[in-house]
Amino acid sequence: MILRLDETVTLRPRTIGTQSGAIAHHGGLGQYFQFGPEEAFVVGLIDGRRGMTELTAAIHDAGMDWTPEEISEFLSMLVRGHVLIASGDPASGRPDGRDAGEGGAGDADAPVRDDPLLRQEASLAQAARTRLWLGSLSSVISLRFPIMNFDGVARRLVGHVGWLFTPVGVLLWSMLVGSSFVLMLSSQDAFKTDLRRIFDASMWMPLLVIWVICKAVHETGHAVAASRQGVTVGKTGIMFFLLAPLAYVDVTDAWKLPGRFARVQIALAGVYLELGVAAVAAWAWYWLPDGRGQYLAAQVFVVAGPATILVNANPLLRLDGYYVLSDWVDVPNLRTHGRKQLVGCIERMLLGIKPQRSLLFGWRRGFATMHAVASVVFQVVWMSGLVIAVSYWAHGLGVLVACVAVLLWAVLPLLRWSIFRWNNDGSWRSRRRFVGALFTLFLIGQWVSASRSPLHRRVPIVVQNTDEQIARASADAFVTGVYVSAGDRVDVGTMMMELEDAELRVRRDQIADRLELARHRAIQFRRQNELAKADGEAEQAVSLERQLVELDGQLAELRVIATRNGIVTTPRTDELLGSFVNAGDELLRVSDPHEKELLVSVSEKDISAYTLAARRAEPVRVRFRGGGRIQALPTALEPRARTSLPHPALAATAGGPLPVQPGERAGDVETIAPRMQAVSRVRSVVATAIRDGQIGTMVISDDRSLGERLMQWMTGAER
Amino acid sequence: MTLLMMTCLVSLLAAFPVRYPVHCLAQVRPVRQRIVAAPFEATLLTNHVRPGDEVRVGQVLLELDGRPLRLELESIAAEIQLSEKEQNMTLAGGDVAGSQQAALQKQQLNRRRDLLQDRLQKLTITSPIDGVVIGGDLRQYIGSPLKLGQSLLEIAPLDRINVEVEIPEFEIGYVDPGSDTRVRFSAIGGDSHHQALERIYPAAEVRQSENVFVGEITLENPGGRYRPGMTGDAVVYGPMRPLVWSHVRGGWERLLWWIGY
Repeated sequence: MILRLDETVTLRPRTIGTQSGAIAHHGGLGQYFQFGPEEAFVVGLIDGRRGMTELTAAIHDAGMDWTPEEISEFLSMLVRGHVLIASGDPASGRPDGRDAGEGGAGDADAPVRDDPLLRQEASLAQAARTRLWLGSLSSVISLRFPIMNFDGVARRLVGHVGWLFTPVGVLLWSMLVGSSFVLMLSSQDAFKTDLRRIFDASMWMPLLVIWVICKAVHETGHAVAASRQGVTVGKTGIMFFLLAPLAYVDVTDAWKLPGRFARVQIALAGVYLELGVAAVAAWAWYWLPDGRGQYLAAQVFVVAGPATILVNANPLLRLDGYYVLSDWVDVPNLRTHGRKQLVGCIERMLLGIKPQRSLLFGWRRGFATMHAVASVVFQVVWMSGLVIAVSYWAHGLGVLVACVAVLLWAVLPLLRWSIFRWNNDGSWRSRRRFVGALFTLFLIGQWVSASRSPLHRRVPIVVQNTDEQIARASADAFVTGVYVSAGDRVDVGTMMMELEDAELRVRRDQIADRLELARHRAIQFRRQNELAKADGEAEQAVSLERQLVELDGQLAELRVIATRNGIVTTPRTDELLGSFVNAGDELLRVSDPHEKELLVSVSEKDISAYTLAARRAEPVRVRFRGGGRIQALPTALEPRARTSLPHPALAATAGGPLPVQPGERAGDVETIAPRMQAVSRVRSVVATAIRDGQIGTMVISDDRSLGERLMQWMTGAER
Repeated sequence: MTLLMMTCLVSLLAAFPVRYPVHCLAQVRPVRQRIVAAPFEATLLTNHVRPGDEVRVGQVLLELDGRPLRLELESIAAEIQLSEKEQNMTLAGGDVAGSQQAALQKQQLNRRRDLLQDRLQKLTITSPIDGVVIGGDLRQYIGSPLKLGQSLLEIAPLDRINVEVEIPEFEIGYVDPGSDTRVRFSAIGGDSHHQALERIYPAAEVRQSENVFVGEITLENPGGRYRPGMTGDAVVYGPMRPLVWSHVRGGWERLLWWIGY
């Protein structure tokens, strides 16, 4: 069998680190392959004259310690990529391409069994069929529709926006983005308010339109930067990833460029333009008047700025950031190398299989492995979130897409790996170990998911004064006297404030007069023996007497008296003097700074865990926002759940942990779901160190399993 | 070697102790403020002051229309006379009970009359304190009816002002009365003003969608540069902490809270 490269494959040298590598371009497929130093050397040995045996010998002669399995695997990869063609030796006349000298005469199956390359070739047909239906499945979650060749457009755009990539353009971009960064930092509180509107259901459609436009700008950036460097831009089109529409443009020819800076520039051009758009949006948000325009600007900023940095510039996703990192550290196919090493480590630990020799050297080997660990963890979380989110979309279609995604990303890779490991060695000893490892992993997974979560639950709390007196106006009245100020100590019975309601006083006197009149008339009628009329007047007198008692009570309440010993905590009491207050308005608060309690707000999903904690009657940890910690005893929950907001500081609109919605009355807010309450007293020594209105969390043990908790976290029910 | 030296230098800089800065919003408020409210329902007749005017205690600010009150007073006076006559007639006729009823009715009318007379005395509204009118331009409301208790004017002395410093609730552990505070109002420019925080209100309150503790300092206000309602920036300096920690801590705390820790 003779090995030769495809005729349309061209090799270009590429310096990687301190060693020379190569880049191969498949003209027929329009694909690029990067090779490290040793891989490039092996590819260089494929000259169309050597067979497998000669190539292996040449590799060993060159001092490389590649095993035949490693060589065959590498060559198989080239075959699968259509870079390498294994053809029969014309001299041997065997149509299957097998070299007669490689297998041993008289045994047609022996070469296939013994020669790893031939064994790989035999499985190629099967692999091709597998790829066909895998490709069909992949199209469910990621489907591309090429629309047009973008090269001409990109060349014309270079004349208009190509200056953005010149030093002057970069300087202006830096000033714009830098100034907007400072602007948003200084205006972050105001921006937060507008940011909340983004998640309104009514704003989703504009958000989708903005998303599509920003991504079109992003791809245009890649195309213009590539065209500016003389790279031929391929087709552009639209792709649907998990049903989300995205623009794409083919700039794979950028790999032809020898200069790393030029390649990085093209890879980052999309993020570069989007951040410019985000900066303009930030300034627009700042200058525009309140209204829809401002909200739209805020949306553009979020989509083109933070979202782009999180997704496109993220080196843990195989997007722009990853390719820049890969190019920067001179590790072509960083993800493949890293994951291969990671799988090797795992297989060595679980199955005792010696890992394949890494093609990377020095610090790059460890870096690739660390990158693989980080990217796997990130992608598990990221993709799981995406899958769960997608499953809620488009009714049944979302579920279908989610199922296909799980199948392609998790089930099939694990299945293929399992089949490969089952068949790889063929010995029952290794198969037993494989089954044992899987069984052990299953048991560990089962135990971990079923055992009680060691992580804690955190229940929102707020500090409030115990038995605080909140004096309110008993009637619409003017404040005519204020006798206390904030910080004054008062005892029970101390008069703190005086109100005046002249109308109420006149009404009271008039009622008193009418009472006296009714009594006189009752006496008069009785003397005249008109007993029925006398009884009527007497009854009216009784009624008036009751009214008088009520009015006297109201008048008495116009004198605001302390009902407990304590300290006046209301600031600026003197400003009330002369002002008019309505019935029910808060006037003064009196409390003892040594008596405070924690108001615990418990959601429905935390009720069982909190009840268990309360039954245990053991002190639990309370952490205040800002870092302070105390111990408190959880107490029994109040019997009734309610949606009224337990404390203004707990509302999400004030930076608190409870999501709220507008209440029935204008200006009121209430919690989205009913919540239970409990009150925990704190010791006097502790009470003086905390302040009324401080919020925090009470840490209680979790009664869920880790698996249950993880599932709730993934589905968003955790928070 | 150079790398090592650079690392050491950066580490030293990062660990350099500085006073922990708590960034806050500052707002100017008058030290004392009195609100002049409509004492009863009446029509505004004249207005003698405008925002910015300096007023003295007892100075006439507004006048209310007393004609409806006077008409009602005349009517009540006539009713009182009738009641007196009825009382006299019934007494002369030997009807003691009827006389007593007439007397009581007269008493009721007298109370109403006293109320009206009291209101007539309040038709002229005067300033309760020395100060400056800081709010309430009533020129547009002359001739329009006022509701009971409607706020008409705000009067406050402006020779000294209070600056309310809104301390984020999660930073309260680093702030005490006496903490050095720097205040700057960009609207009037100039240097920052350094002063110790005088007091912190005991309870947090929600202001502008944020749970804050309000601290206070008092500043002299020559020339009335600081105006009530003006907002600016304040930094309250807490205990000594490493430079890096001082800059990272706020974001770190927000992150912890956001993830639910």
